[in-house]
Amino acid sequence: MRRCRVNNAQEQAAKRRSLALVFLVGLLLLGVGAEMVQAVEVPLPTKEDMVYGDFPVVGRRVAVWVIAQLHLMFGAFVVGVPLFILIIEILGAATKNQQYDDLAHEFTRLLSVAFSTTAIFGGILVFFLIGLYPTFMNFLASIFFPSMVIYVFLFFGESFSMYLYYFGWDSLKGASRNVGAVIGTSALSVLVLYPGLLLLMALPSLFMGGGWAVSFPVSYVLAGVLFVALLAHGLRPGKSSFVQSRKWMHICFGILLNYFGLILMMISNSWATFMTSPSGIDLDAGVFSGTTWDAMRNFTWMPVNLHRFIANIAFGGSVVAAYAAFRFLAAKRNSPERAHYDWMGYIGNFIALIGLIPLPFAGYWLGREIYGYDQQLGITMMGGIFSWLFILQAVLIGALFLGANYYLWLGMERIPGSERYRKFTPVMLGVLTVCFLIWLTPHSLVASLEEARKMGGAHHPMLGVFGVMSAKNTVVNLMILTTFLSFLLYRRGNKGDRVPFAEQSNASKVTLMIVAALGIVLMWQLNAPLADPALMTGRLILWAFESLTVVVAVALTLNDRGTVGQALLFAMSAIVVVFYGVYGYYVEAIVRIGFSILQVSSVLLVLLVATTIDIVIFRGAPLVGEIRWGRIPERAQYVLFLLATSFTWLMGLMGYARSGLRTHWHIFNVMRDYSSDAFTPTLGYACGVISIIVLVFLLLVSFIFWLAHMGSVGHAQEEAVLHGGASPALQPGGGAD
Amino acid sequence: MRLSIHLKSLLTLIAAIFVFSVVVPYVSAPIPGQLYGWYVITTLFVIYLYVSSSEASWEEFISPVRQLLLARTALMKPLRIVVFIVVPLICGWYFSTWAAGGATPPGGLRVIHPTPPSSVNFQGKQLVLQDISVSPIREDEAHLAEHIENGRIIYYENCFFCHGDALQGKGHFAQGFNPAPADFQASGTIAQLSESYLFWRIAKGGPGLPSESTPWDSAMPIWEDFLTEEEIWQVIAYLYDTTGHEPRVMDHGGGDHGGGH
Repeated sequence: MRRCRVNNAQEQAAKRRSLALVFLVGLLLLGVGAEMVQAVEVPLPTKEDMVYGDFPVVGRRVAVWVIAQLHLMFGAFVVGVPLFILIIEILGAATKNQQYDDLAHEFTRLLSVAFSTTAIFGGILVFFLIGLYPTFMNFLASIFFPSMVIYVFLFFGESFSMYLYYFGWDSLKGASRNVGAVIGTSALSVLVLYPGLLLLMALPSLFMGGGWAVSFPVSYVLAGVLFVALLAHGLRPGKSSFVQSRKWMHICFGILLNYFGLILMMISNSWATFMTSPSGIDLDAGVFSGTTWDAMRNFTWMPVNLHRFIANIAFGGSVVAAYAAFRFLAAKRNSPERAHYDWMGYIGNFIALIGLIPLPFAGYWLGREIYGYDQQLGITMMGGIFSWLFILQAVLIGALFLGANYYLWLGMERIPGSERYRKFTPVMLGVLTVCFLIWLTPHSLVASLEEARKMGGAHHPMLGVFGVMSAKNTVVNLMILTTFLSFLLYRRGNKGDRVPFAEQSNASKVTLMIVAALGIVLMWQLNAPLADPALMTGRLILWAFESLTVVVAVALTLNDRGTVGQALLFAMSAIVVVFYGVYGYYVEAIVRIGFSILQVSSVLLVLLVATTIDIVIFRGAPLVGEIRWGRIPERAQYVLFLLATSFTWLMGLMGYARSGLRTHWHIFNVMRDYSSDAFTPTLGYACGVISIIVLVFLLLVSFIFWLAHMGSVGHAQEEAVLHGGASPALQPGGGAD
Repeated sequence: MRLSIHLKSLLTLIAAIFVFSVVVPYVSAPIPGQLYGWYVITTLFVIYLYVSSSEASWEEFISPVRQLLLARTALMKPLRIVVFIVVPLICGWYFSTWAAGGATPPGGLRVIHPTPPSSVNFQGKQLVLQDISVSPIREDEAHLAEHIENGRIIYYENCFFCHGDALQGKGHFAQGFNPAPADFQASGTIAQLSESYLFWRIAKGGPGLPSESTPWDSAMPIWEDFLTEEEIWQVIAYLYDTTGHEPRVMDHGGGDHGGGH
């Protein structure tokens, strides 16, 4: 009893200390926040001011390049992976499926080891930058210092939330009616729901036009009301509430971890994007004049944020899938371990695909904004010296699409009943191949003098047509549609006869109607160019065509012809994509750019409505057989390695394009690079450096995974000793979908 | 009749090579070696994906290879020896021929749209290209038709000889130049560019091209030595008017982002 009291007293003291620390940090952050909006005037350094450090053998540029890229790759992993860990955990909690929970926990193990490596590379990068580019860093720090201080504190926040998330996995289970716990969970809930609240408040203004309009004081009041409501819900006598759930508390820590990671990424993005598209510079006066916030919200900041956010998910998924592939190949045939890692690889690949599908469009937006900021940057990137990197990018992205589809087709081997859909494979492969060939055809070709004479110039009279954006947008949309079709066929592989629609639940029917209506409204939002009457008629016809197809598809579903409805949707999207692809050749550039939105929105409509129809029509359908996890050909696992390598390579190549297109400027058109490294390296040299970085990353990540594996083996042995049995795992031949 | 997987693969490869080697050159022009190589390699890769996309087809495809490598029959043993001698020889012959190269000069990695400078010195006057979103003569809408007509005259007095009557880069002198004169009707030339870009290219010509990706062989003269600023804008307006292309207008953003330049 006495020891218990002592412990309580110690806990109270620890709590008081923690509260005091939180209070002090809060005060400091408030102070730094005030600094963010404090205008400063920072003079630009002159040529004579510029000082550079030296680095042996490889030189300063390559040293910073390698470390920055490695830091970014690990950073991408630790920002991307928590998001899908969270989704898998929520999925496990919602379906009460322990396997999802275990999988999410296993992912977290990889995360915690990768986290410290990210920090190490971040530290090295800071030292290198200060030592090798002191004047430049001094200038950047003079503008961005308040954001750097916030960055450091957020880093603490991320570390703590990650450790709470990781180490609290086993202990934060079950329910607690303790008042303190309910207050804590309610507060955490408000914290994690607050961004959603802001979004809800902004939605009306977004739909009515006028951009984001949010009143922050109102949001604080609403947050307070929400807190009281949650508290009241949690403290109702004799009633259970999600606020009492310790699992929900754990999920909140996961959401916080994601928030911290995302904000950290956005802050560091602002430093890098300022170098490409600086704002607040008065070139005549030779000063930066403005606030840190002005410098942060520069022209390319948001496009880079979005592009990196989506890419991180795809990258994280592919690296986790590669880890699972390695473990699959190392496991004994027909063992539960092999079944487990087959499933893990499938989930990782699935997440990578989800990220991959919208990625080209986020990249397209970024490219457009770069062009919009400065013609020079745009032409250097897409028409000038860096354009060849985009051909490499095209080959790798094409390989990603082919690889992802191939993996799904091989995955059908483990699904009894999927033989029925084999006949579609050659057709889908044919479509993908034609699209891939068009996708990789450059506009200007490498040709000998003789070849160029035969072609009548650097452009091939026929194939040159495939080199421009109209063709590229068309084929990438068709590749996405085909990949989606592969996924649908995979999904229904072992499903037997469909349950008649009339027997489906009302909830399913209502959901289908709501999704269809939502799709039609979204198309109106995306397609209607109300500002330009000249385009109105065409867009209205498009909207009517898309809406009518959705209505017919839903009507067919109601009459038990859902698959025909899906086929109609696919055909509609293919028609829209091809029509605007061809039409794009006959209109000026500014109109053509708008077409890409119409193409992608029709694809997104199909993704949304066809998926819902698929879920509804196959709900409750009898199974032909259980998925035989672990029974996938081993070559499928090498595809997962290929995907991870391709993603990593792409990050290196495109990261170089984004950074290198400033050419001889530290800050584009503002601060010149006066060092001996100011020249742009040849493409071959750059690709060599990038390939070495990719190799080093893959080796390091393999080492980290090996460490995680060692840890898990030790843990499993302890568990076995304690409980006298092995940890639960998927059994070969059965398990989760 | 069911075709074996080997026959299907072979027919696919032959059909693809037929399209790349015969159909495309017949319809338009031969495919340059490098792109041709990419196409053939992609086709081979896709055939591999096809034959290995299911266990059944892979087994069917691989079984003769397995037999060739492992079977101890009277036929397979000598065949194995022949294959192990002939295949490396063919590969060696191919790569040695490829590595030795031919008499033709190697293909050039030309940059078709070099990056323009942010400003140019035109006849002693500094013009900031970045700030010229549309041609200044377009602001004078009342006289635009007149400007275009002047542009037509300037074109036929100066540009027509290389860029041709139809503005397709097929003028009388076109055959003598490499690179060939630009085809203004194509979707990849002026349709992709802003008017200020054209101004820079016309004013500074081939010698004014930036140092990146040199050597440049463009025979385009330095037109600022012969034409005034207004005349260059007029000929640009004529090019867009006649081809029906719209000049690219740079989106200078602005708004909350802090804006471009």
